[in-house]
Amino acid sequence: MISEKTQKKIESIASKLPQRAAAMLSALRLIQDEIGHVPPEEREWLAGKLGVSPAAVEAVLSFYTLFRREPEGKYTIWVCSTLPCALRGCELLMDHLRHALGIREGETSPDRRITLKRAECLGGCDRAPVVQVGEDYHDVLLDLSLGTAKVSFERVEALLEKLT
Amino acid sequence: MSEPILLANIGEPDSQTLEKYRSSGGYEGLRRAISDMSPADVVEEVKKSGLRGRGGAGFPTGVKWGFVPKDSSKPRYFICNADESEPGTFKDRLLMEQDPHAVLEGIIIGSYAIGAREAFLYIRGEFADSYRAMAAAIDEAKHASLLGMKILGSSYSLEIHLFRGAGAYICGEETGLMESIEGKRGHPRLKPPFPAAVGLFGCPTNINNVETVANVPLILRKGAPWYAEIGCERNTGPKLYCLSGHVKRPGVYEAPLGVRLHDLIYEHAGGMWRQGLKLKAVIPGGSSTPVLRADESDIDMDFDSVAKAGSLLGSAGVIVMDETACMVDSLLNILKFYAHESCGQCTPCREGCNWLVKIVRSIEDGKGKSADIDLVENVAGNIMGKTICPLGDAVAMPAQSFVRKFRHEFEEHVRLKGCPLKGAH
Repeated sequence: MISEKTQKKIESIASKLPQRAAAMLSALRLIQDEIGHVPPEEREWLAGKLGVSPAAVEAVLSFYTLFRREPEGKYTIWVCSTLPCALRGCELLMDHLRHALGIREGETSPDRRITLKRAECLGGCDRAPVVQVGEDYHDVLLDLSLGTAKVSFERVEALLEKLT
Repeated sequence: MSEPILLANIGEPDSQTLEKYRSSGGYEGLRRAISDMSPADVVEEVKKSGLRGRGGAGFPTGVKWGFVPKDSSKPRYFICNADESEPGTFKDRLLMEQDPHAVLEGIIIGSYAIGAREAFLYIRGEFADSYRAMAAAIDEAKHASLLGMKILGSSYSLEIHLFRGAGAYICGEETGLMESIEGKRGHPRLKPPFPAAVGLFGCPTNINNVETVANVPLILRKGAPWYAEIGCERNTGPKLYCLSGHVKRPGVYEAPLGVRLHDLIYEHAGGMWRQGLKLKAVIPGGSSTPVLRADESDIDMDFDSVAKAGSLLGSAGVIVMDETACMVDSLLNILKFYAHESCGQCTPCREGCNWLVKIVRSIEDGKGKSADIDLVENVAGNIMGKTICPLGDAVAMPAQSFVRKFRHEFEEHVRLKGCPLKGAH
């Protein structure tokens, strides 16, 4: 079960809103920040806390991409793959990460450190191809000085080294 | 290139602090609104400025504010939509991260104008830096009596609730966003009733985009006539344009509404990213807006001119493609996005998106037949205008325009049984 501190935080958010159920997204985020995902026990607890049915919590949990119902790796690498990033080589980047980590998209490394996922537009097209790790955005590569579309993976390697 | 107005603070050290913002006239607009003007005066001033909504639809902001009933017994709410998610768009993120007080001042003035005592700022879940910057700005403003009880010593009080999304494009649709704040799936609502009458928690609600509210302090500080001089007829004010794709310097650039699209591409963004490669296509307003061929893309970038050219200014997310871009593959990428983000309420969108992905993928993979090209247009035509929210149109418009404008590329894929540009980049 989540800590008392987090429980109190959720209560404080719910009590300040015009309707308690409006604390749903904030509460799920707080639970996930503490545990890493939102387990069944916490879903039940939250339903009672906000005065909604357990099905209402499930509905929200399964709708939003950033919520996790199962544990994942310590870090999730989100590789943006929407058009502006695709035009600047995100598939090369994805291939590279798959090989370097030895896992497929959606999988977690055997040491449980890294989960690799494909993201839809992260709103970081100025840094394309962009990846998000935890809360931070990283612009990884593309050495235009080469004069070709050849990709420089130095910054990817540095990032992986930091994580692994 | 003209002097930046909206981005004047950005790039300066400590641009996100209250001290810095105030040193360049920040919160003077709010002071003028609250001490010298009635809420109705503020609405009138914004109407006179000609400001049109920067979220995509271009609806006049002052007129929208005027729709909120003044005699309702229910509370009125002001929402700032910071769920920036349209592919190719990243201007609101910049404003929130680097000039959060401009956004905040706009929200406070707007809330005062419609008589809201509570405002909601809904920030896209992935934008952690935006969230942190806005939260810090709210704290600073509260301590300086710019927010909270009795703002600047007046009788007006306002509380702001900060919300974070959790990864759902559809929550950028205004009623989907309200459902999300209420703690539900982001399913857009049938309209009417419109949010001005029945919005958040069933109460009268006004909702504006981040860039729209960031314009408001300027209008109040410098006056509507000054503002209306910027830009062109019926399209006033400064605008943020997001350049991405095959340009040398992707980024956010400010120019008056009506700037030439080719000036944005070749001057601001430095032209094509690789020497010797030519421009093939431009999507002018985020991935949902119809694509333009290079030969029809030297247009004025304001709401009316882009519409006249057969596309939309939308969120001004300009996605540039050079001749190495395969138009079938690019369309497939866009379709996959909307298929992933369709909320599933309406059958034409839920089923149609997936079918479009399957058909266009088969063409890209060399398994398509000539009749499949017409089928793309047919399916898109049966989504267009047949859904609760504009996501249906958002998938149909690129599908139709890519096929109509680059039909020869689709035909070539069928004839060659594969993609001639595979691995070209």
